[in-house]
Amino acid sequence: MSIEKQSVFMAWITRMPLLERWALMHCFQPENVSEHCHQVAVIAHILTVIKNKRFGGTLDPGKAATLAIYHEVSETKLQDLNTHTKYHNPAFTKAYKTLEDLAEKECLASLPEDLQEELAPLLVQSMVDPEYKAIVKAADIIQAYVKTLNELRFNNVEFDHVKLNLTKSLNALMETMPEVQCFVDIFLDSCTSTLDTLIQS
Amino acid sequence: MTKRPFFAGILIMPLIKHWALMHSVKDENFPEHSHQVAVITHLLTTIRNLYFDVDVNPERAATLATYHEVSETTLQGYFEFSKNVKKALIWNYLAHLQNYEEVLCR
Repeated sequence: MSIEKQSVFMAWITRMPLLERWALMHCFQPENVSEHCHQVAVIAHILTVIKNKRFGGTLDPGKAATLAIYHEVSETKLQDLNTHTKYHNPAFTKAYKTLEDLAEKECLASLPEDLQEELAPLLVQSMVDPEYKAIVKAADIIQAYVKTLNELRFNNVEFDHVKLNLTKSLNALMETMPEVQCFVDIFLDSCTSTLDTLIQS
Repeated sequence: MTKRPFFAGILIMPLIKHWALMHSVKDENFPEHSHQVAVITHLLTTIRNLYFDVDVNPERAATLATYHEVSETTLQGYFEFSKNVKKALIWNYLAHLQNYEEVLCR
């Protein structure tokens, strides 16, 4: 076997379960970035399938899922920053997005050179196809909304204001993306069911 | 519109422990496992295509990895700790359960 230069790319990915989401809030069920990415991948995949089957879309569901798997790769270097800080003011948001871009490019550069061409449009958010980016963003919001519903189910009032904000974002999405409305109609009710109800359904 | 519990099943996955019968310094659950398997599968497929003249869609492979533990939402890691005990019996049992699970997720 030829001696290859070792890449640290996978090492960073394996650290993703260490990155806590909702770090400034009490959660009954803590959530990390790896779990988040897995759920966003499933939602993005299903959204694309719905878009293709019911609304004449022609996107590749596998590509949407793969983009979701990598969409938080910059957080391996930057951690998950809370929304209020990230969007505190336009100058900070712009500066932080520059950091995210640098972190994504650092991850890309850690791969062998001949793999970078394939991975670049998946890792570097500024290179992601806008149609797929919209799907992953919608999936990201749906995942956060479902998480919020589940914390509220246990009366975690920390999530009251999160629900208000996410409801606005979700309503805006449903107006422009019918596949999001379908996803909500088909899957959301059971997301706060007890295990026994779920098994019997 | 018919309501489906499929995604609710996916939400259960963080509650299911990998390596359930062993002490782990750092616990691992199935979404963490599936996420890493998806990245590894994507890289493996990209390497195969590039170096070994194969034509497999890396994004499809990564998507399969994302879903590859979906039966655990019903079987709860049973497979993992039981498979080394009595393989023949367990395969039989699993075949039955996985059939049931497919019906649930349909």
